[in-house]
Amino acid sequence: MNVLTVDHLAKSYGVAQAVSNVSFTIGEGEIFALVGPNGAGKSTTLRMIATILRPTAGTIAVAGHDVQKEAAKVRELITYLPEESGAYKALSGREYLHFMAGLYTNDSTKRREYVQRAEEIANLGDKITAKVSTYSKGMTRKLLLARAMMTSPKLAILDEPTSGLDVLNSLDIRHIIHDLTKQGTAVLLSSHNMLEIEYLSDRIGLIVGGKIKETGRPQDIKARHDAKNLEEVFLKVASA
Amino acid sequence: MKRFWVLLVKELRELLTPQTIIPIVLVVIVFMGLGKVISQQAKLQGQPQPVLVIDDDDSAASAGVVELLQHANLTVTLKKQAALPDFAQPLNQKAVIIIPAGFGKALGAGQPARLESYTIQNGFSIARLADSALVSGAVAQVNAALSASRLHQALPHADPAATLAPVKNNEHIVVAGKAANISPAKIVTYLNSQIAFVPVILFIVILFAGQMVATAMANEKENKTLETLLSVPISRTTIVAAKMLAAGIVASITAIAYVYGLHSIQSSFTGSQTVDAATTAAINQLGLNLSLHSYLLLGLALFLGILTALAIALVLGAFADNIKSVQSLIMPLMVLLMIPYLASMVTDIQTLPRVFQIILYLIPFTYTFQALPNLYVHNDSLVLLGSAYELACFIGFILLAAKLFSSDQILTLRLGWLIRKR
Ligand SMILES: Nc1ncnc2c1ncn2[C@@H]1O[C@H](COP(=O)(O)OP(=O)(O)OP(=O)(O)O)[C@@H](O)[C@H]1O
Ligand SMILES: [Mg+2]
Repeated sequence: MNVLTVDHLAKSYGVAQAVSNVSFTIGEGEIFALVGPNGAGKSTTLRMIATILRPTAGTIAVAGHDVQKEAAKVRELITYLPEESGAYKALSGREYLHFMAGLYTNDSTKRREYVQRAEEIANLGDKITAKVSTYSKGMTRKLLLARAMMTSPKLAILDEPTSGLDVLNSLDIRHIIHDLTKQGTAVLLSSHNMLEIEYLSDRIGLIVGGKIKETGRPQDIKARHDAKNLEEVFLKVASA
Repeated sequence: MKRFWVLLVKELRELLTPQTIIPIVLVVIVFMGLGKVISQQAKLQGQPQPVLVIDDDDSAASAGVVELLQHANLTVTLKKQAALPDFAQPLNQKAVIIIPAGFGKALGAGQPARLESYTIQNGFSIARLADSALVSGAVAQVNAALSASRLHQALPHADPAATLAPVKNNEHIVVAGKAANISPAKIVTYLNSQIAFVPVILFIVILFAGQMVATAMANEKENKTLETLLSVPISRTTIVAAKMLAAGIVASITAIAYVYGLHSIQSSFTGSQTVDAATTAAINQLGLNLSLHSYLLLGLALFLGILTALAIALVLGAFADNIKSVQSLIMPLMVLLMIPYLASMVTDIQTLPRVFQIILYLIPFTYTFQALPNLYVHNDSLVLLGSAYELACFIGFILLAAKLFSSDQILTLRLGWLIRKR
């Protein structure tokens, strides 16, 4: 069964149509990337899947559970990293992880396990005990990413996971995302970094103006457009 | 339940930061300090005040007046046939009283005898008000003593007190159908001292609770944590309830601190005048000591007031972009509290024009502010009715908040702002 099934999804903010007729699926352990220009509707799509925006039309199912009708169940299965997000300033990095872990499990052993895994992923050293308010942008991003991965969800929704990170940290994160899928987690991400996407994703969806123009494996899409890299494809599709 | 607890602890940690705790502690310290200062001043006021008396008459009559002044709680420094002191020089006196030559003669002849007095006013605050009446008060006592002795000379068989005040009034007070044999002024003064600070406390607690929850919402938006929080496996109801409870707890802590501080000011005013047995007996007789039942009703009215404020603030908080916007967003709640608060302090609602009455009775918080006055006159049913109305308002606003939270408005209200900023 597909971990995620998106079917004829649409969203309008008032009169403005942000997303229309978007359909795609993600299988177990698969990494799927939504690629598209600014304002294409990537974040809007991810937010709907993450149960925080209501679709205007269409359906979304996570492991067979409808996102609107069984939102509570879906939230047990997913984690979501918003594109712009932060952590609670009054807490330290470790306290933040401990707090968030407590929202996913009632079991204290499991809670400690989650925190430990997240600390490994975040790899912040001594800084993990410092207040979040003292973190740099990249450090906060790593903390939040670690949070999104610590529970090994069925589906991790990551909106521009490596935005704000330097080359080394981005590379780190890519490895971590890859490792995550080995345990069966499916990943849905959005990104502007074509290199990263080519390296990371099993399949991509090219979205322009709220509509999916292409879906498929990177190499297939490149072949179809007779392009050397995804950037070329992107340029062709986006300007068409 | 466990996850609710996790959330609650987090909310409390967010609200109980040094920035929020220090002002509360400071206020309490300042209030307690003020209380000390006031009670010290009150003590000083009760002591004999120093005055300079210049006796230019030097007669038996003037010596008698000086003695009477000494009995009127004044410490007299006496000088005979002296010039008026230079007021530009420091003078350790509260007043200068001059008995001019010819004073004794006039008194003996039954004519008005003149005194000259200079009150040295060292300030115009309420604390200095007593200074201004120092001499006139003492002279009134002198007059009373002199007229009593004259009456005694003229009418040796009459009682001077009965002659000076031929009619005596045995006062009774009637409250809510019960009567007691005591001066109404005494009861009113006593009750006022007991309840004067209640509206302030109600105002502060309810406003604080509202402000706290709006701040919590604004915090989530400013730190960009709301979107993440809305995607975790916790019902929106739980999120909202944790926020409300945390705000309620912090507001209550604040309230206790303020009650403590205000009480120390209050008792510094009334501390010197202990309640006499007659007043206590009358209070009991009139049923003016609140029963447990009344306290419960008062608690209910306060509780519902806080809940309503929390629900309103939650709705207002949904529009917050950041912490700074809380101040202006909370304004509607502030106005809704200010109107019944001021009304409860200055006037009886029943005496207001119809339009104002209707406005006041539409505001849910009116019933919280009116609860105590109503309980004192045993209007329990009105308090219950008001509480029911407050409950209805609370349910209305909490449903609205729930609607905001479960729809995407809670996010798009902020997202709208994000997009405008781009
Ligand atoms: N709250 C909102 N109200 C109105 N319009 C919105 C709102 N949020 C997004 N939109 C519109 O929806 C469209 C898609 O926005 P979205 O944020 O999904 O784009 P995106 O693909 O994530 O872009 P980016 O690469 O810049 O993150 C845009 O045209 C945007 O203006
Ligand atoms: Mg986006």
